[in-house]
Amino acid sequence: MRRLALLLAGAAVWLLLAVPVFADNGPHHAGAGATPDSCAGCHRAHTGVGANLLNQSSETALCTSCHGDTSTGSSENVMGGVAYNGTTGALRGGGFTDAALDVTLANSVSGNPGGTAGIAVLGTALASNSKHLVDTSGTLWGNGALGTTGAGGAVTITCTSCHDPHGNGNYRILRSTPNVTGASGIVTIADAATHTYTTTDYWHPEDTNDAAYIANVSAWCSTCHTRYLAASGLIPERTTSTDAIFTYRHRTDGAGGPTDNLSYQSPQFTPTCVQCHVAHGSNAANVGPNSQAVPWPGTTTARATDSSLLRINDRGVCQKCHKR
Amino acid sequence: MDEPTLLPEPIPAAPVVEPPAPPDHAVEAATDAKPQGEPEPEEEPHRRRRKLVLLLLLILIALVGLFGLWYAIYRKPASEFLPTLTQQIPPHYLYSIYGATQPVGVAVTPDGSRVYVSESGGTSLVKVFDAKGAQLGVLKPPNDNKMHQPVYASIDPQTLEVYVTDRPTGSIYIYDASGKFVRSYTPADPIKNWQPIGMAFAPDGSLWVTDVSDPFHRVEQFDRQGALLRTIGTAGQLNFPNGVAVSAAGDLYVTDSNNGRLLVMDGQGRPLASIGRGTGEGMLGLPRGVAVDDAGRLYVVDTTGQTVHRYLTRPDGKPEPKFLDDLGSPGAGDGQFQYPNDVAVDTRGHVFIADRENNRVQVWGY
Repeated sequence: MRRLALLLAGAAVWLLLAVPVFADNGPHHAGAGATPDSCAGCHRAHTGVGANLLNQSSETALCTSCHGDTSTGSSENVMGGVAYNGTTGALRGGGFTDAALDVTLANSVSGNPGGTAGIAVLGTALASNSKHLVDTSGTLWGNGALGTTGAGGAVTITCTSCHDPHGNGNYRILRSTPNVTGASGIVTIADAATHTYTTTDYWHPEDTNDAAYIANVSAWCSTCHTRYLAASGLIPERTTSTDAIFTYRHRTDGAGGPTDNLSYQSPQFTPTCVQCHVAHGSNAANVGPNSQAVPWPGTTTARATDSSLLRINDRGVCQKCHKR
Repeated sequence: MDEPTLLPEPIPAAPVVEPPAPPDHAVEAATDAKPQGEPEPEEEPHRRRRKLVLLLLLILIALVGLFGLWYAIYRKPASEFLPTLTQQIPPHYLYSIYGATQPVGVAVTPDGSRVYVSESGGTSLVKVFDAKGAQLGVLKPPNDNKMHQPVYASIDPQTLEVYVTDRPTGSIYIYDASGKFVRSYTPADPIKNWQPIGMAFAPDGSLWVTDVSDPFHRVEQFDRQGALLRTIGTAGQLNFPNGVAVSAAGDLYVTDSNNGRLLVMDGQGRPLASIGRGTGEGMLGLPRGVAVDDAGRLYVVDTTGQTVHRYLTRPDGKPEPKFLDDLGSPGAGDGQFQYPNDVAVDTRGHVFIADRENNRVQVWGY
């Protein structure tokens, strides 16, 4: 009898506690994550308060319920720019209000391109000096085909402009095409088996943690920032694009080594957008007068303290590869 | 000739009846009668009766006075004395406490005189308010590490010390009632990358903690010295457990947040019942903070549901809570919520709710 009671008790424990959880502990996995009742967590079929039948008006507030500064529903705090899984560290993409990137050149350049060293992170987060604006109108820099008038139109983005909350099999649930007016092109960045969301050994030019991500991320960013994408093979640093604003451009396609060695330290250099910039926000600062004087594209207005989402203070990212 | 006047015939005299002879004891009483000037014999019982009435009156006045004093101190709603009535009457919005930016956690002392609010925006500190909402100060972490981020606060009923979880630093900081940092609460056997979130004190003084650290999420019970007594949850079971509360009966209530459910367990952590995710009455979306008041009413914050579900614990002795009603609706007005995240109760029937995106703590009462 006692054995039977123990068996029943064990079964009760299993029934009450056993629920399949998602690999990333989130609701964003395509297929497996969409249980029959999970829809009700965010949507109402007939009584939606926000667009897309959301049960709340603020989409961003919904996201930050898990990914905000306390982020008690996830391991990624995209506002504070830190991750809690394993060892607390800095998110690769920085944070919208704070970021914990070690943005000093001396600490960040710890190896040659092609080497193995990564970039250090801080033990404490600092205020972000630049960020992708969310829920606020901003300029979609470089949007449009080469030759388009102006530096880019106005746009308001949200979290779901870039991420698919339902999961789509892409790395970081990135949309294949950002859900922003004017964006075009489909870029698939397959999810990696192992997620590494912290900066350790990541900014390395030859990062191999997520090869598919590195190979495709520039194409992905330039679905919006179209005119920033410059193919290496054209030596865009010396070849005019004919665009009035983005005329000579640094190569960004990550397609391989340069055909003309422009004083690179290593011929294996394969620059991508994320090698120099973060996606969410950076605590890098414009300290020097030259960096502060750099104007916004197509204007004469200096950026002043806005660090342009760069990973290192001033233009320290240049010296990661051009060590002069 | 006149007729002679006839006189009425005389009435015969009534026979004289002798009174009966008094009994012997009456004769004695008459013999013992007090002299003139002494109270009448009938006044003694009246006086006694008057004294008794006066005494009762004094007792009644004293009771009313004591009750008035008790009410002035504790302000327990009258409905508390009629629990059946209370179940049928939902609480209503009273007022809000402003001054915390995007508050995610709230705790209150039993008498309601101090309210502790952890804010996720602004200073990322725990702010201290009085019952009326005047800010009294902040709880400062023991060092200047800017990674500090308080999540939830809880009051130790034995000492009135304030416990604050700080997930980024893997700490529980303890402050005295004056707000001064006292010490850190550390597991006796260190837990690697410990990430405490919610806390609740059991009747025996032990501390329940929800922990979202690797390798799997769980609920831990520690004694007052930090020795791990019990762990609930194994790999694949809990998904970001968040709030935890213990009823006076010792039952344990845990919001298994990302699994969208509330778990009910006994004091040893054995599962008794659960409430799952859905849109039906009392069902959950993204449950977070949880609290049980001394009338056995259970409050569960549903962050994405923009409400606080109210249940009755142990209805008819059964472990599954009985759904009563929802507090509030989505919005920014009085009594409306935008992403509520935590709830706390005092012994006066007041319910404090951290209304995150409205940057306030709402106070409800019966």
